[in-house]
Amino acid sequence: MGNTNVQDNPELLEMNLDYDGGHTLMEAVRWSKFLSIVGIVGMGLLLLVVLISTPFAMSGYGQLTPDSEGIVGVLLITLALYFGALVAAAIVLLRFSRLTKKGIDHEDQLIFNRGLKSLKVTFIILGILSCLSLSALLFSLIYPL
Amino acid sequence: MAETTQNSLFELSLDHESIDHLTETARWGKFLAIVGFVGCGLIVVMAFVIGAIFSSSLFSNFPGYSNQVGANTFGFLGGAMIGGIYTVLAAVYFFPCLFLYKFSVRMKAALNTSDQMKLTQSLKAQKYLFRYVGILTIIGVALGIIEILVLGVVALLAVLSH
Repeated sequence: MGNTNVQDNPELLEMNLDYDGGHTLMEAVRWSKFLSIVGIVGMGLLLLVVLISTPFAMSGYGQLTPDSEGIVGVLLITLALYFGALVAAAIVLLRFSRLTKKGIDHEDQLIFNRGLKSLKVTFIILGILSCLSLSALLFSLIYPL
Repeated sequence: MAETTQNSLFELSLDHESIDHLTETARWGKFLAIVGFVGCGLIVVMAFVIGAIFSSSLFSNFPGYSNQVGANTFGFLGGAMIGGIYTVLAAVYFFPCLFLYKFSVRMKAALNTSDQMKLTQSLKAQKYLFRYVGILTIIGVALGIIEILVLGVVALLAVLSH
């Protein structure tokens, strides 16, 4: 779809990253680098906590009510996958920061494009996680009915 | 002259590939922003519901408190406080969604109309988004550290006084 627009309108190719846009993007990149590092550390710690606590929680709940062991296990594994996806999003965001900065510094179009691709992947991961979270929320609201 | 020099500082252009990436990013960004706005609305609804529940139930289940004159006032204040906290949370959560929405809409418009100014405005909205979330993260981390320190001091005092 994007390609068709560009082909129909060759003027699109005349857009460039000017002084203002470049500096704005550099500041955004600086903040996104900070956010990605905090995200990797924070979500990584949460992932570790979930992974470490899963066997204990499963055996603990299993002793209380044997039927709940499987459900608790599935819930904790889902939580671990969720945090894992967030860590992946943070890593891709860090890649965006690194590549975009490098692309602007060296005025390298290829590296700059790779940086933009990483931002796209970050947004896609977050979008899919939002879809799944919304589905889970709706399911939890509808299921009791 | 100065402007020409400044403009030439960045020789990067938006080619087919970067336009594709930015278009897709803007589409997902808009979706995320709309989900965020819906989330804000839900938090506001929760503020009223939970506030009302707390106002009516706080102290009413405790024997000796439910008949006292001040119990209703405390219940109302407790409900209002919890409702207020949720409303503040919704307000805090609203702004990054707004910046993300502005980034996405302006980026889409910039790419469709080849508008350089809109592209810059879109990048500015993205900068504000990352800056806002970054500052919130700093505040959150600082509060977490203070909480851990306070809990540590309290625990230490409790051990020493034992």
